[in-house]
Amino acid sequence: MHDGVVHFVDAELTNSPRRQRTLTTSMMLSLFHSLNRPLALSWYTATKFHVYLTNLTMWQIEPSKAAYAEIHPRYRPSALQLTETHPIIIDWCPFPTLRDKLIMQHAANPFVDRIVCDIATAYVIETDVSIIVDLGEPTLGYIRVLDLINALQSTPLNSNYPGHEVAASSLSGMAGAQESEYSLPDNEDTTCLPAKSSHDLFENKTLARLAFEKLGIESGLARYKLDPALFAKYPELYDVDADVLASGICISPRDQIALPTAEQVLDSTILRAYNDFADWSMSAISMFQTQIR
Amino acid sequence: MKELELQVRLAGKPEDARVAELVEENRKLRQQLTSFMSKLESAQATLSTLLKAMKASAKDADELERSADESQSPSASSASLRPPAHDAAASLQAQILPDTDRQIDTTAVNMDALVAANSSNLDESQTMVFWDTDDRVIHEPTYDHLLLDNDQISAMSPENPMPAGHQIALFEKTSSNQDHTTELASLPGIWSHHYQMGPQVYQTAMRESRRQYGINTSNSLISDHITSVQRCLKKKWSQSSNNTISRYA
Repeated sequence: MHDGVVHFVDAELTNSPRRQRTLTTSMMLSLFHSLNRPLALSWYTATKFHVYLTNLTMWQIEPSKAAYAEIHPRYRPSALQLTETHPIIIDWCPFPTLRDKLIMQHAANPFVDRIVCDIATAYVIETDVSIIVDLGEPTLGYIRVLDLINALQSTPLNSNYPGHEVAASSLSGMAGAQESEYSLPDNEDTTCLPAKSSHDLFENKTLARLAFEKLGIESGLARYKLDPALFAKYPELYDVDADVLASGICISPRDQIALPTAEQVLDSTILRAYNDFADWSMSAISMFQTQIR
Repeated sequence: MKELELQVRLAGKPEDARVAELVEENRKLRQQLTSFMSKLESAQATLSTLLKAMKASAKDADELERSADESQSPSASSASLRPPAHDAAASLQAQILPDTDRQIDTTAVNMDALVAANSSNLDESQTMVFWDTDDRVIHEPTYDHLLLDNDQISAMSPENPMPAGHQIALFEKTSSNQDHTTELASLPGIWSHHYQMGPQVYQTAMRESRRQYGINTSNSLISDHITSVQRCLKKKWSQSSNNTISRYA
């Protein structure tokens, strides 16, 4: 299966200039998110989207057949992407038909960042949801990827954070997800699926973690569909021929959140940070490679 | 007739009022459409559930009937009346989960064309403008390249990200006195996403947008940042390659 992940199997390849560039690119994208939308970091890590976007960025900087082969099929550019200039954020949407619609209908929209983030917020996994929540019988439905990831965090919501609609903890929140802070009465079994209710699922980190693994979210990009609510907000993006609309019942928490956009205008301080950080990361990786030779 | 009545009604009003009215009408139509879509979704889900329930009932009835027939015969078995739940779940799972290895045909394009097209997007003459002036950024940032003025921004919201009024103004420089007349002014009554926010508008706006830090600032903050990151990396890699070549020359 093509999971979009670059696998390095020997020392020569590990120390290759390409490897160095891949790491630098990934670190630079991480810096961008850290400076501009830190609360989105955990989402990129959990979904492995940072790997997909690193590979895409590598190809955009230095296009080659090898770089193209590393791009996940869902991110490979359409003919329209290659022929029409458009905001680069549109390339980050993993649905080719949606990318084309965004170019044709929202390329000049001043809220194009918000729209792309709303699309990412609407990623769902369509499945028999009775394996996640006890519904008594097999039931077709879907669950938002972001809702599950947010349920894994140590501090799921922080409405006080200015300019953001979503809050997520640091990466350590993912690592600590096995330690549930939520507790049900002793006679309730909280450690296995299906959960008694959707409330239990989203309030119990252990159950959320199990559901995350059961649904294969980490490597399931090819199975991602979209919440129909997205097309209620942006009906012009709907394409009847594209099989992207999830169907069935929606399993969701009481409060749903959205991925944040960037708030900070590009300025000289940030540009200098990008420049210096690129030097730092390339130097650090180069030194590390020299040591292990 | 309705169209004519609408045109007569709109004729006496100023341009802004007409546009505002059309935007409001568009919003109402969108609401109706979304409401209709959600009702359809709901109805579809209900019908699907009903269908499954009916199928299950019919199956149970058949099993009962068959079981009753078999119990009258000497070779009656003690088969379960209901199919195992996990079988039904597996069947449903197989039906709705596509193959994760599937490839997306719509993206299949000629590789050489891909490389050539993408190379042109990061043309060296453009990418080096900022970095060649000085390796460090020394210009004080200015913020007048924000794409919308305050009135336009306040008229929009992330909840309703449709520009209200003159969309072409989204790339106008707030500090500029230049009059950006558009084709939109001569076509009252026409509103489409493609026409007002499509690639043509984007290209026109990008041509006129402020060039700052080596890039033309756009309507997407994220895109501006990522473009800068890409150009920074491209420059570093180019320098690194040159150093390697000179070391071995």
